[in-house]
Amino acid sequence: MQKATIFKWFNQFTLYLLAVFVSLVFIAPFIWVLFTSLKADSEIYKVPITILPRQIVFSQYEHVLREMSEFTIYFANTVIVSVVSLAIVLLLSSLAGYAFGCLSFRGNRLLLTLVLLVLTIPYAVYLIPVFILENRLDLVDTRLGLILPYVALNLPLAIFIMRGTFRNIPKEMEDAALIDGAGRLQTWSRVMMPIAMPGVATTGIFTFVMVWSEFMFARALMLSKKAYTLPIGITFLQSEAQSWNFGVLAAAIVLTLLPVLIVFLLLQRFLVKGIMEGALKG
Amino acid sequence: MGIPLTRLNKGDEGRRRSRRQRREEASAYAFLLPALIFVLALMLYPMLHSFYLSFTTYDFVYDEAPTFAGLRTYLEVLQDDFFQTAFKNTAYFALGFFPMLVILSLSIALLLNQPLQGSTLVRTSVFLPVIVSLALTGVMFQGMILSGRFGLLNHVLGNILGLKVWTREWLTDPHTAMPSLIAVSLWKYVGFEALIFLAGLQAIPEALYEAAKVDGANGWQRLLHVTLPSLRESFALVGIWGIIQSIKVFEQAFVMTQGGPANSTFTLYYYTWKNAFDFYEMGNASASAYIVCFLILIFSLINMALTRGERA
Repeated sequence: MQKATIFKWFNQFTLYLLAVFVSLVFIAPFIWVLFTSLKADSEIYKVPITILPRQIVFSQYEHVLREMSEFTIYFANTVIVSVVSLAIVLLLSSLAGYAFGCLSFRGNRLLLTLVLLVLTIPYAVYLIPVFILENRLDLVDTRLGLILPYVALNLPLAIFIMRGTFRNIPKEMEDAALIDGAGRLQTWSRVMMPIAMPGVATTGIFTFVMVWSEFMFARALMLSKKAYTLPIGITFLQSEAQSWNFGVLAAAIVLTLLPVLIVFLLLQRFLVKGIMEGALKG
Repeated sequence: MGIPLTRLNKGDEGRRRSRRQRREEASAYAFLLPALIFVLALMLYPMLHSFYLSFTTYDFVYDEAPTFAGLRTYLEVLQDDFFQTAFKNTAYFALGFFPMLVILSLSIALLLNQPLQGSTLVRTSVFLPVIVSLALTGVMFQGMILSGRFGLLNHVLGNILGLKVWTREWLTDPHTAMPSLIAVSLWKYVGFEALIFLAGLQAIPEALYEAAKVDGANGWQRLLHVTLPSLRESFALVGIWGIIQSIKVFEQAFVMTQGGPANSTFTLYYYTWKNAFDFYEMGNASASAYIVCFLILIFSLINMALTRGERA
């Protein structure tokens, strides 16, 4: 009897220890970067290295925001490209998702094939022709040149999530509106969209995370410094690391991460729900 | 799944569709049109175009137009020494990454499925790397974790654990460059796969465990005979994601090692990139992109066959 309790207690203890260790492995790099960004240079290069900052200073952030004009440009580019792409993806996927989820038409099944294609086919397959096309149309180095492919690449999954959302809305809601004489577009915007908002949140966070971090298209299509987005810009900032220092790099990393982190922490449950429900559907 | 099927087939059963149905279909296409234009112009068309290009030689800088070369493009790529190096390196990466990904994410999912206080916090921290871009992950690890003098890893090994002999320049040492890439990729992707496994675990009915307990099965037996067989769908999904991430390795190497040292981290997808955007050989690049596609397809099919249910 007592032996069993001790055993159980020991078991619990090991599990907690394991849980702490696992969390640490995943979170330690972030904490290290954060702490470094808050140290003064003299402290960063002191030997032996200390982990906790002895004195918290914001000089590294000041340096990034005041003196590195490129960083602000990359940041602005990323915000504009992400927000515009996100808005278009949300609008178009809500429209198309409604059609796939609630209306009957021929060709409905094609969607699933399309989603699987995009998710499995490597980006290079699209990127090479898009690169050729954008060179012809003079879209290289323009924000539009990134927004257009980003919308296309993120649409299939977005439509897929929105289809699921609309399909789960009871048919009676829609019928009631239609019988009251509302047109399709009105039914969609006034009745269906307000109910579909959780799905919009899931789609939104997926798309935002994807667009904010996209590397390949941005690296191939944005060739001049003024057009870089953060994922590209930060790699160049880092390769110039000889001329500047770890503190600044750390601060730049934290600032790059911050928007996604905020969105993630606010909308975490939608993302987690999206992945877990998607997983169950197979 | 019954409802959607009847919905899909409505109106296709040979009888003439009513005017109401035709109107519904028309508005469906109207709702679809804007999205369809994007997908057709920027995905379907490029897909076909690069497929055509993969049978041509096309130097984007000098050639006016692609010249048809048939299968010669593929042969040329397959016989290229750099391609073969890249192929070996990708195989090395996949063999290290894939099994570890499955084992680690399943173990973490099992841990997260325990009734522990604060397990949401653990879940959040495990998932955090998933939202960080691969490029930024690379910058973070190259600059601040794996670098020689000021990296966190060497600091922990040398100053905290007292293992000074283990410290090194992780990314410029040919023996540890690829293992480092594998480790960083695991750090980045394990959280996502763990969540898929967790969803599968939570869907297993409690009654199955109760029944196994009544039959006198111990913890390990329950894991082996109840948990793992019930996770078939999760294995299928984790498998396909893992295969994709194993084969199209690029950003990690591009950002952290530039394919070096001595080409030891030069991967297939990197080869595609170099052909396309360093040499502007769009024909060869397209061919190698389709070879990457083909590899993903083959392994996905194997994965599907292995994880298919007995009767499903």
